[in-house]
Amino acid sequence: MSERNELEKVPGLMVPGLLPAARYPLTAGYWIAADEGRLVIQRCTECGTHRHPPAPACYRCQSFQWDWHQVSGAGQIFSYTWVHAALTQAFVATVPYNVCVVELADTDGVRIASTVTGVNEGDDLIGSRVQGYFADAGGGNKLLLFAGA
Amino acid sequence: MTADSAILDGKVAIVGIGHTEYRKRGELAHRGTYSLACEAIANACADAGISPSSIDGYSGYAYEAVEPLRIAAAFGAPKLGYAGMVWGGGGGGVLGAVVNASMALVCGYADYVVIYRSLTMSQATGRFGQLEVEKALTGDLSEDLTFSGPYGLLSPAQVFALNARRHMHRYGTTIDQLGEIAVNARRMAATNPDARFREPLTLQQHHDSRMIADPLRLLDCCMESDGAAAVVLTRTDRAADLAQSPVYVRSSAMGADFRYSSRLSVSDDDFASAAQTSLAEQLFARAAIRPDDIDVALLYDHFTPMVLMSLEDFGFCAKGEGGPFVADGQIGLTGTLPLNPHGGHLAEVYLHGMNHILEATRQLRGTAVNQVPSADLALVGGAGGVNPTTGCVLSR
Ligand SMILES: [Zn+2]
Repeated sequence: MSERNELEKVPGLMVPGLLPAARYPLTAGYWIAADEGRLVIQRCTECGTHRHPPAPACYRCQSFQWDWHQVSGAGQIFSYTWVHAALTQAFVATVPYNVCVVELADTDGVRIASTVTGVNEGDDLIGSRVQGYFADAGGGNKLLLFAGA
Repeated sequence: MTADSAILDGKVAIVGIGHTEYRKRGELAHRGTYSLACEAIANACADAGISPSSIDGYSGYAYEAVEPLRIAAAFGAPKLGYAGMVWGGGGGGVLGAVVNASMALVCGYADYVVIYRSLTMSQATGRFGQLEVEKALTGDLSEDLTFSGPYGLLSPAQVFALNARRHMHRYGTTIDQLGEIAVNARRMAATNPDARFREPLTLQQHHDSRMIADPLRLLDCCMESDGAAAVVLTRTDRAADLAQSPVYVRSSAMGADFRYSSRLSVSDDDFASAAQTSLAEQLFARAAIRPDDIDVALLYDHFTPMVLMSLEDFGFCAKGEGGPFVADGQIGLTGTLPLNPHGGHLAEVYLHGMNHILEATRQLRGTAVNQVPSADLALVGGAGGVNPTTGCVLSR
């Protein structure tokens, strides 16, 4: 997956407090891969089912065995919102911003929240094909965003 | 007792209700949650005709901040037989407190259990969602929120907007249909002296209210409030001797439809829902009734689209038909399903579902300001879209 560094209107960027500072044992692998520009999703090594956010056991076969599986970042927008009322100072400068639910291809229907860049409020986003990429989020952190595929 | 009914069903009654004044967020902060809780409980006990020192059980939800021991101390209650809390779910857990209270009563751990909620929104746990925002600011995100927080997905309104948008996409639900729920709440509240918002509302005003998280506008959201409310429950054998006609708990249940790895990855049907279908099945089967037996519904109206989806989940209309159902006037006082005749969270007060239990009780006693004629059965639903979500069927 290509990495882009664009000065885009993305919520949370450059705001250290909103970055995934807390790296829990179950989730650390995701952020380590993100720093390398790779999108990984937890996968059960017994039955192959993907799951996200990370959990200790497989919801399908209950196995505790898992690994990180690199995926393409291709996906489709399942739902979205445009946030107008910023809840914190960190987001005041970025409203309105979108939060999209993206269904990732080849992941057993895993959906994740992210922001899609290059779209406008009023666009009918549901069903749009998007491609994930990592943007510099400040403090050496990378954050997964999406853009039209 | 049928095979489906739980041992608790029909064994417990609501015998007292009470509340404080209802005010805007922060306006009762000077009184504090402790005093407000005690006032509401004292009022509920007076309504029941018992002394607050008789209370020996405390059933909470949503991490109620006023702990039972402080209540017991204030009233000099000599015995504490039960204190329990419903885990998680926020306002979704409110009727889980009825489940727990019923268990404590029927199993003999307590004789009078109180359920209460006391809010001054400046105090800890008062503002759902706000806590997560504060954590986000300090980088102290919970494990799952590390994946949504950086994108500014933090508040309940933002999360439920995603469910609402999907429902609109799948079923053609419109902004005006969501607005009907807000308009209905104000129409009901117009005659309720306790209500915070009694002015009528037009669909245009709803449409013009400021955007919070599209498609949710300000008037799709309940308004944070200060106040407290309490209900007293006891076993039916004791209930007959008290001051009020008992209101019986026909069934109460806890449930959730989130059966997969995360709330964003649930099935499409569950995503465009209030996650209450399995809860509804339990409640109706155990009370041996059907949705159309319900005379009045008190559904948790934190956000208008969640009410619309609750109506579908509880089977008052078909899946996807919630929009036309509310737009056709079915939820008005003379409709097929009078909904929240007190004005609900949207217009009376946002007390995390407690005021809905109080209104259901008044409706079944026949003492409500917007009385549904000869109401025999009421459904009370906790917040949809959360886990656990809870409910109860009450009868006179
Ligand atoms: Zn598995």
